[in-house]
Amino acid sequence: MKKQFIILSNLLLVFFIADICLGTVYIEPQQVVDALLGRENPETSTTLRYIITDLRLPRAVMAVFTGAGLAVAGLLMQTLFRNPLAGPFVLGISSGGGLGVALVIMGATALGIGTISSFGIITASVIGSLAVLLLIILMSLRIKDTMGLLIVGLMVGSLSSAVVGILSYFSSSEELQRYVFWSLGSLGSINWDDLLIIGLLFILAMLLLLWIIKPLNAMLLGESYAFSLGINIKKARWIIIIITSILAGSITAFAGPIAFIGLAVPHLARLILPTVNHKILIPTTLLLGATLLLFCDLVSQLPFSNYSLPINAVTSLLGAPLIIWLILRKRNLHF
Amino acid sequence: MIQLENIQVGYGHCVVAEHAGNLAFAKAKLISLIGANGSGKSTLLRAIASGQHLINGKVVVENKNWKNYTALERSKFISIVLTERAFSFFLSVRELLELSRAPYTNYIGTLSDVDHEIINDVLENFDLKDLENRRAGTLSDGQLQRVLIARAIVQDTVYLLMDEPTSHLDINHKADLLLLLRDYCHKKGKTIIYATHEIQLALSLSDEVVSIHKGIIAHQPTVDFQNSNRLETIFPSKNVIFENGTMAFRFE
Repeated sequence: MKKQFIILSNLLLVFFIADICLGTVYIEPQQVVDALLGRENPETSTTLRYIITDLRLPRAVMAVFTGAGLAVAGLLMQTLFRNPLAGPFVLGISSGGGLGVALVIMGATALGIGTISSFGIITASVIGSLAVLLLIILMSLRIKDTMGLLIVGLMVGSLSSAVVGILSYFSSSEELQRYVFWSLGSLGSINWDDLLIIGLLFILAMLLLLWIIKPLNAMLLGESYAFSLGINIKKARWIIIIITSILAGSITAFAGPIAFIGLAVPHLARLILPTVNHKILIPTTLLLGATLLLFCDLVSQLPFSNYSLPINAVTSLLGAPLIIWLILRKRNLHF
Repeated sequence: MIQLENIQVGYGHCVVAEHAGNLAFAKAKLISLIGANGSGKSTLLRAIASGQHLINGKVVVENKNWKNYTALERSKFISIVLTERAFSFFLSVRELLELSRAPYTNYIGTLSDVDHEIINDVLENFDLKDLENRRAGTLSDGQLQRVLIARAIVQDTVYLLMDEPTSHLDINHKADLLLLLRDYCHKKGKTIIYATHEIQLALSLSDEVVSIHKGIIAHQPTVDFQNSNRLETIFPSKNVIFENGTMAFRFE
């Protein structure tokens, strides 16, 4: 177990540095490390330094937050819904964000407001995610059955998609392209102010997480047994939903709906540990999620070329075969 | 002591089973719960354990209304064995038992030496030492059933409510396990109330019998139950003969 942690931490560090080194312009690892540690390096020009600290470093940090956050959110949903197919977006949070963005991009011209800035898109995504989150929390007050909540989440997702579908049907190709670009995800358009917000929310989620490790483990026995073990299921369910919403909501707002990491990483983590004890599973999922998304980001930048791929396509291209391979090898996926 | 006062159990407003007056379950007893399919055995057990399906009346544990206990306090009095299998099949047998120490562990679930000792004892007693590291998904139904019973024992409560704990078990395991449970009750002062369809085993091993027939709950010492002709009325069939507490099939 310790071995896995050490390997993963080292991998994370290597990919983190590599993610900053590689891109349209190649930067020497030594220069990157020096810049990160605040050391002067005569070979690093001011431009390179700017590229490192203001473009690639925020991007790499965002990849870490995104990978770690979505992976752990996926794990929480899989445990809560006792379903190996659950992911961070099953409650409809990304669909809500998508709906917000679609409304702003495609609705703006209809209202004659003109083109919307990227800040407007982020705001719309935040509002959309929050709206769905509130709806889900209100519903969870009424719905006692956890599975019912899962279905409501899926329905909210379908509803949002339907509205997005109608909007796209009536929108111009330019608007459509902007929406598609958002939905393909991007880690690149992040500045330090955005990162501060995400970082604070991330820390808040991690603190809440400490509080529910024991209920999460008890939930592995099923809700009836967990209840008989003195676990306050209702409270735990609330906290789980809130953590997931904070993570998935803030990440979707800034990076778009990044697919697959949340579904695939918990399975990978269970496989390499192998345990379902959340005390070990959560740190591993965080590390593995961050590492994997850094790797996906590396691939998506197509190093040494002038092209790049959308991050969402890369995560799915790598993630889907991975899951298929897991199923072929291990026959069963568990929660 | 668990006392049931004028209880009615069922779904919504539909009463499935009831008892006028008091039912009291003393400590250190193995009590079997007998009744035909759908007579409300599971419902009664759930009503006692969690208050679910309790329409009227109250459950009193150690002279205090069960409703007024917190979830954590409850978890130290009553443990359960259910027929549902909603748990993660990725859990190893040991992990499953470790989780069941939850009422006694800290906020993050750290196990003490005492916890490990209790788990080891139970693994030993229930012949599960060899299965300790197996995942729940790889066990047979019978093995899993033994693990679930061990799980309830690990929780170390005064009362254990079990819904058909011996289903899926081979006849030898059924007999061995029930004997083990009876000794456990008598030696450690615990009370197990278990629903069962194994009439003969129930009659030969349990101290008391709770029977449900036509919505009426009755509670008798096993001898009295045998001497009454309740068995014939609960399970009427011309092909099954009950005599002096034994049962036989007669096909014509």
